[in-house]
Amino acid sequence: MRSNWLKMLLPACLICLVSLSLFCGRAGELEVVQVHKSGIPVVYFQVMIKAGSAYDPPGKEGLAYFTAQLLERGTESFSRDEIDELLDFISARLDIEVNKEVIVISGTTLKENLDKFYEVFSEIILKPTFPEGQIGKSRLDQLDAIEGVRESDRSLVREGFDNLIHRGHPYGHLVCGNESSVNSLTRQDALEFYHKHFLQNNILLGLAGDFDDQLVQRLREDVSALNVGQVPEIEGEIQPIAGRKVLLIEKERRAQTQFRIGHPFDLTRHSPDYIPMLVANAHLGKHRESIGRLYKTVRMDRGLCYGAYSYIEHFEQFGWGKLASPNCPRKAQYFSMWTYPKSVNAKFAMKLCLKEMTDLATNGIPEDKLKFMKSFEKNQFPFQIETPQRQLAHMMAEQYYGTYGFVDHFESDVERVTKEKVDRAAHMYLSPDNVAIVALVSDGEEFIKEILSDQTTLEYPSQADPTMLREEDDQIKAFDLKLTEDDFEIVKASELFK
Amino acid sequence: MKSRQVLVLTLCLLLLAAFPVHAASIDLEIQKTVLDNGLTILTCEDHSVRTVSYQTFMNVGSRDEVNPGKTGLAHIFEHMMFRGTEKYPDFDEALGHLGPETNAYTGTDATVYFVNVKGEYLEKVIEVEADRVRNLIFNEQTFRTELGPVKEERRMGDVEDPDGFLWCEFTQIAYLKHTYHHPVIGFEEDLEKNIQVEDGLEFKRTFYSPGYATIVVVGNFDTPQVIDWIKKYYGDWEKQPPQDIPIPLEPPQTEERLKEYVWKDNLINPKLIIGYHGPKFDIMSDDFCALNLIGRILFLKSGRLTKKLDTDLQMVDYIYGRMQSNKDPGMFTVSTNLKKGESVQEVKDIIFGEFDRLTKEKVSEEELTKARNSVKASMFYRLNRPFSVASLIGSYHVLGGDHNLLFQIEDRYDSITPEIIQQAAEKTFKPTNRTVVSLVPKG
Repeated sequence: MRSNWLKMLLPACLICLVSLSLFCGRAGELEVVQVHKSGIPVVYFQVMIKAGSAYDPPGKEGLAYFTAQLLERGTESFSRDEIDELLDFISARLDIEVNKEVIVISGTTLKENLDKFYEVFSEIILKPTFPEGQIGKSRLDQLDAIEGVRESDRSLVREGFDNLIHRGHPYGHLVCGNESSVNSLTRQDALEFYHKHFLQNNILLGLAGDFDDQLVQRLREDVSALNVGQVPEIEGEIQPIAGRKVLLIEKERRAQTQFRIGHPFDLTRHSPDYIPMLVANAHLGKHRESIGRLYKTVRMDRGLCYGAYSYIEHFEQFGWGKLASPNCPRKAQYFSMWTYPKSVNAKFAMKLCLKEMTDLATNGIPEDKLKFMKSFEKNQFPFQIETPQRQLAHMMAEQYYGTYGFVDHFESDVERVTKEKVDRAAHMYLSPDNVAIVALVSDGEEFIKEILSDQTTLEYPSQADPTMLREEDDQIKAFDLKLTEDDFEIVKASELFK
Repeated sequence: MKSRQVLVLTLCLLLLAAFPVHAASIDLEIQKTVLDNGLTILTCEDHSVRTVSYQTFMNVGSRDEVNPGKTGLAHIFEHMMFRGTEKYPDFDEALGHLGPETNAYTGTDATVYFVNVKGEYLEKVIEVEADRVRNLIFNEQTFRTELGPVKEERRMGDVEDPDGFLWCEFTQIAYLKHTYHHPVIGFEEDLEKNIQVEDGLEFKRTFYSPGYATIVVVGNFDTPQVIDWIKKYYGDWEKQPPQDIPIPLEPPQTEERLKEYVWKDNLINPKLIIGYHGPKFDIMSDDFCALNLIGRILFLKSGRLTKKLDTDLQMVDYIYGRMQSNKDPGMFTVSTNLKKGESVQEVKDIIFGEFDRLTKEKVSEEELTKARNSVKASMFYRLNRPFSVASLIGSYHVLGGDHNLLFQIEDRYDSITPEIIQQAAEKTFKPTNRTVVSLVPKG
């Protein structure tokens, strides 16, 4: 058994070491990451603050989110209505995202409206007032955000999984908190959180598009008005999963069973194994790509589901596309697989996913696939940085992770990957015998009976002929899930996030 | 709101009203080429990027599924297009090593296939795309297997997802005759029992011909070279006579249609969709442009209904509305997710009240300028990557018949006055022209 406990300590040490160097530009000058692109008269802003939900004090889960939402609800010069009105008038966009580790405030404006936009944007970051009249409203909206997670099957399983594998750790609660903690949040809480985290040595600034040095200077000078202070750290250890553990979330009358399988691991972008694992993951099941094993075996060969994918980092989809949002960095990551077959095929699909994971961990990547996947990753990378905003976000992620040159060297780093490196990384980081499984089911007890029974149902789409895959299907059906009754936990969706 | 804030806000608005968005006009050089076989090609070079977006717009969608029992065929065919040809039995193997961003989508009016790659790989993409659009293998086994993901997609979107479910029900009530009635993904019964592989083959014969196709290429490439390649790989794609398939006309709606549904659990908030029949996509139509602007006036963050229902009263979680863009007369729709415990009727009354107000009072110049700014700025924000530009060009060509309509946007929306807005509102927002569906949690 791999020494997972040691691997869990490693990221904590890395976090401490790296955080000392983050956001420190030249002496006396704030770093502003810049991507210049003329031709289209648009300017993009991104401001990243280490103030995500992992910094929520115990009992105040959701405070980062609460504070962030309030930023745009009133500043020294502008009321909430005025902010909304002004931004709409100049058709500027403002987004405030909160993730486990960071708050990211993004803005987009036509160049001709830059001055007007900047006035509002800078006040949101530097001079929010957390108006008393907005506190109750913000709480109500936040409670609705929690409802929204319960409503969406996909979100429920994803968040349920994220919380489960990080149980007891600052990552282990919804970004928007839970009902009882949100109801306790006050204006004073938000003020304190803001002053604790919005420090000039805890903020990363970025500009992209058609702008000049004057804007850079202005931004730098204005943000320098923030205090300098002690940068808080995320404290806590992520516990490794021992064996296979299953959380069943009950929701009435589900026709599909959404599920996620995976475990925390200590693979970060700093690691020389990161790029080899990226290649391994492309082979297994990159998000919404059809080249991976999971997509092929679950969807193309058997038609069991619309998609099946795997991830070596926490993944938030960027808009309607396939790419990950680069604005949710985490220094402690996890491996996961996700699919959502018709419920009758859930057990088979779980076995199939685990078998593929086991095959990869044990046997590595076939030589012919290695070349293919490397080529895929290298050639697709330009899309990761295709727009000024994405390029900016990736460069800011470099700053955040301390992985300088990640963007510039990506293609050559992929080129250097060998089968030995991929196989070694897959063997080291994938642990199919120690996974958490979170599934959305109609009846938890019935599902447990089915999982523990000797039978594995497989229902092909109507009139599709399973003959050619029979031998393979039998092997998958024979795969041992290694689960006992004690490995299961059942919770009703309505009881989550209370 | 305190009086000082009212004064400041008023002054801001007056100042901003003097500064409508012009930006630079949309600056795209688009070349149109039509081959002898009827295939249309629209190209737009951009050498500031490394990539190119290659999109094939097939001028067929669920709207064209006029035969009973055969709904969902356009979408199924889209799925099948990834199942290979004799030359390239595995589409992913053929192109995957080039690192493409590739996918497709089917709508009511068109089906679009896109492959985004680094510019140097464009010829290979053209070759493979030309091959699959003509030589797709369509056999029983792959057809039956692919129906599986289609059904799971339907389950995910229209059965398990309350918003998808409600939209699916809405279109069936709002449209009685026109083929916008049925969901793009098709009815369950058709997917389970009615559609056969022969239907797919017939569909291909009918619609997958050069006259129905427009290729849009945007990014880093050389136009004469791309035209040569397209001629090389598509040139012998046989021209077919255009099909004259009459789409049933939707008769005018004469009374309000209402339906309430109950969801299978109590973990949702109440939801509401309201729709009014309106014009088809037509930038030259005052009504169409006016309704687009009304969408902004009501549903921008500071828009009348967003502000009232979301910001001020907090009766809804979100609310959004717009004039749909369709080849045939579409709908102005409003979708909203109420906060728990809020009354569907009260929210409806507020929404109806605002529509009524639009018919009785002219909108202010400030509101109109804000709405115009939003429409125009949206265009600029879409110019940030070849894929978005190609989508924009293609959709204007397919829906509007002419990609050059893009360049009319600023003038057209500038010409819409408060009077035109009011007239469009009077024509459209009548209770007898309205369909309302709601979904409430169980028990």
